[in-house]
Amino acid sequence: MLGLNERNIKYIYPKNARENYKYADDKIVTKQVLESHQLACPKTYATISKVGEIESTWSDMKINKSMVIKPSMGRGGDGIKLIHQKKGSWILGKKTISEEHIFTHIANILFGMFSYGKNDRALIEELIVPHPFLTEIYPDGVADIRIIVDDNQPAMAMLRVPTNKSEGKANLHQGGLGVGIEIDTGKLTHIFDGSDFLMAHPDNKQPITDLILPHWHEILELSIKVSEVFPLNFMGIDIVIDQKKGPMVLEINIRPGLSIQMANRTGLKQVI
Amino acid sequence: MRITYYLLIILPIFWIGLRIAAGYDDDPGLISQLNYEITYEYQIDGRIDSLSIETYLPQNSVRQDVALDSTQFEWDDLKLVTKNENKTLLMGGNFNTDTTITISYKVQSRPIEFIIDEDLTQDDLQPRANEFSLHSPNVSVSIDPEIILLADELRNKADSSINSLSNQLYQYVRDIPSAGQTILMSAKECLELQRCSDIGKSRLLAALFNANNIPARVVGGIILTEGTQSIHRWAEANIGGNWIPFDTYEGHFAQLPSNYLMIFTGDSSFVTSAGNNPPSFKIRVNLERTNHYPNYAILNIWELIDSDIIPLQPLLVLLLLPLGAYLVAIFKNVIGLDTYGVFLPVLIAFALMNMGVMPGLVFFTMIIGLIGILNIPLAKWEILHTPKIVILLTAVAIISLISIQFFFQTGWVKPSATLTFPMIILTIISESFARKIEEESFQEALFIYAQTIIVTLTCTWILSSDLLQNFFLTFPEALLIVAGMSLLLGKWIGLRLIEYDRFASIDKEVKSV
Repeated sequence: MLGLNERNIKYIYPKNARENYKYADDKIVTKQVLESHQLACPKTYATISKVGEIESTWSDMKINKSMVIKPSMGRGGDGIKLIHQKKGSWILGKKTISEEHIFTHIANILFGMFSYGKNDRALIEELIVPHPFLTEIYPDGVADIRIIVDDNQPAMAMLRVPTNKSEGKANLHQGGLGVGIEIDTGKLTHIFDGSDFLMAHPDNKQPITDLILPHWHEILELSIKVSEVFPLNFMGIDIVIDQKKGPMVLEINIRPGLSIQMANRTGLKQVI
Repeated sequence: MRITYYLLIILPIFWIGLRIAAGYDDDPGLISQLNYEITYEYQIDGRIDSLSIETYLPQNSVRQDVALDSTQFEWDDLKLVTKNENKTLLMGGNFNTDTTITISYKVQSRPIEFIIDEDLTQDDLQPRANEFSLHSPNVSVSIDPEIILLADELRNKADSSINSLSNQLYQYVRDIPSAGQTILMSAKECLELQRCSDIGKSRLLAALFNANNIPARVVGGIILTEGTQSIHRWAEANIGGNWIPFDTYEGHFAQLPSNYLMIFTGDSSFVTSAGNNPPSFKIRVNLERTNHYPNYAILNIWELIDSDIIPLQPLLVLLLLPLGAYLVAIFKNVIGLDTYGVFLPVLIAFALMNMGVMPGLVFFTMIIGLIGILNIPLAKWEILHTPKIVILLTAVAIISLISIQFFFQTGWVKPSATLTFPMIILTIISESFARKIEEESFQEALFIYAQTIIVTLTCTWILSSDLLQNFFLTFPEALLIVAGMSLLLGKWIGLRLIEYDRFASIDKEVKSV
């Protein structure tokens, strides 16, 4: 098994130059690179870097039916809000929220609440509609695929599925599931909930194992292309599958978590 | 790089070895000796006619050396006499204005441990006479039937050896919950209340020994720790011709640690004064350190301290901070604990050493609790981040001000403790804590706080060792060793201790849902 110390010393430090961390740590920078190489990613509606811009930018945003607001330098999915319009008011999760609430959230992002106090930018982008394959497994939130790419080679992958406990988020440490993926075929293998291996999704008893992920070869190709355009040689790439547009890159991680080994029941050292 | 870390570790070890070898003739064995300077301070307020004060001074014994500068006694109204085996200082005179009299002496003490001869049996004891008295004069214990009853009961539980009997008596008194030190109480009161001060416990134990016809007495002295100290009492029993110490309050059976200074026998007051306006009295203990290895020192830190260029405390912080941070690094990279910041646990450790561990912990936890509670409404009202932190810091400042007053008034924290340093640390930790609550959850914030405390307590325990402090003060070259070991740790790729547990579940059976 690969531990944190070895991951840092043998993979992250020698394979990624410090000055290139920004390509992964700052989502707006990531998207600029992706867009300039025509690699699929959710459409950027706006970026906000000053408090004074919030209100004017927001008035342009109202034409969108739904969107995602993200801190550009947030970590672990914190500060990400998925909102949509219903009868002229904004809904977050199942609750109506005021515009004032949205403004405060954006201001908090800019003040660095989700980026360890560093001034940040807010990213507003298209809310993707997950592929029916994923909503059948679990209807709420967005499941995504994490692929660890080492020297432009996809090494290990897992599907991250939200649960009731994770409140729509797909991160393992927030209660989501990690499902191992057979790298050659896209077949789903083991379901790991952070401490145990399960037979099925814990909330709706949907069997997941042995299903084949749609668009798998496209996903692998996309991850290789992404790894080629970024000056990083060890990273975790997060990919979502949109109902209409297919696989899209969500973000890139310099320090991918190590639970992916659990979901695949294999150590990373065995496959790299 | 390999050469760098070998040099960083081996060269300083070699150098320190050389310095020890060069200094060895002067003082075999010890890195440095600890001397304590004890000062009695009598504060006389206003005009007093014919005041007389009586105090005790310690004497030399196998376990303590006392150096008294007699020139300070060249004063007409001051007399040194021996009274009931005790070296007694008598002072008197008329005073017209506020006056402070100080008497000081130096001591060095060693630990002592007795082994009670297993062959000594109760048959060797004289049968109890109808009338018995305590060996020590002035022990305010009545020959109480209840104490005699208890003494008999405990004697029946013991086997025939005196060692076993002593153990029974000691353990009984040791198990009585402790009340605050220096609360005056008799043996009988201690027995009835079942919550005793040091003097209450010592009187009860002495009485129990006496009731079994083993001569026993109460003695008084000081526990040598820097700062203002009060008189501490323990008991002594004469077994096999030796006066053997038993401290049921601090928990020492037939032994005393090195920091005990015995001053007088008997359980009378330490200071007695005649006159309607008794002076206030204080005992101060200062630690003096002597360097025995000044040869080939690249930097003689002891000289810096002696010349009063830099006070000891900040120097210790500078010297021990890297080692403390290294300990935190071990906790993080080898064990896998998560803490608030890298240096915070070390800084809190220094704060605890400054404030005292218990008051410090209570103080920190109180602040953390307050931040947690305050955070609820502030999050609900959606206050912007930076102003919110300002509000939290204001709360920290206010509660600190209130608790400083409380701590000092109750005497829980030594007035000499500087609180500015802990305050700054608190400010940082409250910020980290509030941030954690927002970013993760209150439970997660608390969980990391618990881990921070574990790391902090370990650092406090290690860094407050006199031996370690003296070592770094004598051999600051050791800092290079810390750097070398950190380089090694920085290239260590083993699994962290908690990762073994984390990855162990890879072989688990699949669970049905």
